[in-house]
Amino acid sequence: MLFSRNSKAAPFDYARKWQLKLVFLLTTVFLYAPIIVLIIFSFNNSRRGGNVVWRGFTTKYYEKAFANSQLVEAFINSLTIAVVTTILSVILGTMTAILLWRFRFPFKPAVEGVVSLPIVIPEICMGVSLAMFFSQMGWLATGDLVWPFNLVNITVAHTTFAFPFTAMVIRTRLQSFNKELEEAAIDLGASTRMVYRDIILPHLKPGIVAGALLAFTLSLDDFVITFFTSGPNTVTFPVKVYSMVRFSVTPEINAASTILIIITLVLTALAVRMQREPVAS
Amino acid sequence: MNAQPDVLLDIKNLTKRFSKVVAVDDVSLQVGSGEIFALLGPSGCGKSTLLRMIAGLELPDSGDILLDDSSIAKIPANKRPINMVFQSYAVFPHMTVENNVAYGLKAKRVAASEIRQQVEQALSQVHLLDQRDRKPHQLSGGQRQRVALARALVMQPRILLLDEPLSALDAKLRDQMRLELVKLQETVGVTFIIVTHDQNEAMAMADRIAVLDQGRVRQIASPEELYHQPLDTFVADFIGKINLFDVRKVTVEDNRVLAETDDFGVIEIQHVTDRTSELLNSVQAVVWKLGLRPEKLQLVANDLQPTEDTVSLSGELGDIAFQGVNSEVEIRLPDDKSLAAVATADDMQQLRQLQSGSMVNCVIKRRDFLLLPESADS
Ligand SMILES: Nc1ncnc2c1ncn2[C@@H]1O[C@H](COP(=O)(O)OP(=O)(O)O)[C@@H](O)[C@H]1O
Ligand SMILES: [Mg+2]
Repeated sequence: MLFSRNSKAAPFDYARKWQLKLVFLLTTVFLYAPIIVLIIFSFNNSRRGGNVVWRGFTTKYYEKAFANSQLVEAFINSLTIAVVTTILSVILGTMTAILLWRFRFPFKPAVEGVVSLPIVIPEICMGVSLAMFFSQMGWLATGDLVWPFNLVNITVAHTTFAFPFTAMVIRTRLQSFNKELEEAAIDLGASTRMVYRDIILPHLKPGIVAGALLAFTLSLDDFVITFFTSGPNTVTFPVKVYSMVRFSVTPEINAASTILIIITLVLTALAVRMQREPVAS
Repeated sequence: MNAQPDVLLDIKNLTKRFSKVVAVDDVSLQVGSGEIFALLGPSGCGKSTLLRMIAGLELPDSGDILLDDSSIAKIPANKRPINMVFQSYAVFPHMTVENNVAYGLKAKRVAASEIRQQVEQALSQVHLLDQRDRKPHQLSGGQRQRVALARALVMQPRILLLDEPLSALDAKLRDQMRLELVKLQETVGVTFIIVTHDQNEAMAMADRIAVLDQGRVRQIASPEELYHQPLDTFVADFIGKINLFDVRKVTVEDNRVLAETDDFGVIEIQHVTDRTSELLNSVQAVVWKLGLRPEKLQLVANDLQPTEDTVSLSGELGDIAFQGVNSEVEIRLPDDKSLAAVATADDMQQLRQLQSGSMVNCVIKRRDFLLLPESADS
């Protein structure tokens, strides 16, 4: 009897078992409850962000956050770094993916390994090595330069660890490319440049969007590598929040974090929409 | 072989190797202007590779390709006046039907107004005008193929190449598309080269067929000639069914070719192909076979006597495969060999009375036997 019941199970039947429902519920709660609490308490009219007592609705901490010039500066820095990192990662990642997909050259497996190394190397090691590199180059002092050139070393560091992810996503997408499409375009008179522009890049679009999103979020919330590579005078949002939290947790931080969450959500939604193009050959 | 008076494409000793595999081996053939030419052969015999070399997507190791008497071997694929319909159709998935068809013209920088008009004409030729704004994923397989056809035809190529154009369609659509392709070719007048592994398809559509095996040309001829005068056992077997009988010895006496067999004694061969006479005159050791098409085996009532012009044969009745007007009948000979014969509807009336295993007699006209050299490697 037991087997016959199992064999009749429909795809979503597992959700009917109460144990599984419970696990699902707990997972959701533990994953999202802290975030929801964080958002709710950004509107709490209390002086301390860690205060779990509701003292009435207010938006004054949003005003405060926007008025905190250091916080705003850190936020703008982070967004700038993330945008530039995304652009660089997409360019480098696409080129790397196409290079590894299309061409055969000596030591190709070695090159592939080296490219994906930043994915597996512990962040702390990358942070230390990049910090050493920048200090050798004298680049840590770029923090004294005028904006946005003071962000150069952080952006370089972020691109270094973000573009392998982008390359990996795009490479995966390339795997499903039907080479006859390319040949058909050539047969119809297309030049190599046109094949890339009209056939390969449109096919890669979902991979590029996903890779860009990945690079953007990786850069936006990176703490470790940024901490090691930022000079004393440049701050990014995660580093700034960390230093603020060390003094006290204020609802201001909740407010700033909420804005960050919303930006990420909106971008993700956009990316999902852009990817909704049906795939057929 | 009837050499075409108006040669459009002349392929000379074309060879292509992929590391150790010789995909196309010293192939020479000529395609006439305005004909449907089929490249026929089993899977892996190099048909697609040959087609891709004509398109310029593959570079030959040696040999030459002439279009209108001038070599195109060094002209890159995107500059050749030859277009292709790919096996996967390769319709661009992110473009509408209209943009797919317009792509080649845009690449050629044709004026926009002219593009619109030509695309419209091409789409109406393949009955897709009402689908012009759709994306490929909204189309059926047959419709996608029409897009691929229109996309190639709108370029007004000298030659249209089609790689297994019907293999991905279901049986009914395949028959319909077969007719439509032939009709389309008649309207546009473009030379078609069709690759197929299906002999029925090639026989039904092509004016001439090149039978390929292991990268080599076995025979180039019209469908009728291939069927009635195959050059060797491979072609005979690949083009329709054939019964083969062992031949002990072939002798030539006063220009008469005589084959000695165990089954029928000495048979004089009526149709001696050029290839056969060539082989008979050479010192080459050849294994000969007598071939007989199934429909040349006439099932008869038991008491019919063989005449001077005929030989007879009897065996047990085996399986019968009903195929509409005619049925295919298996006849088992005493030595465990089995033959294929064709029974007409009338024959079937009588055969129905018989049980499997009963003896049946057949009469064969002596002149229906074909003398075939065994192909070296098949
Ligand atoms: N790009 C290639 N690389 C290596 N071998 C190939 C390649 N293309 C075809 N071949 C080989 O060449 C032979 C002929 O292939 P193909 O022309 O595709 O045959 P067909 O179209 O008649 O089935 C096969 O043995 C195939 O494995
Ligand atoms: Mg093929």
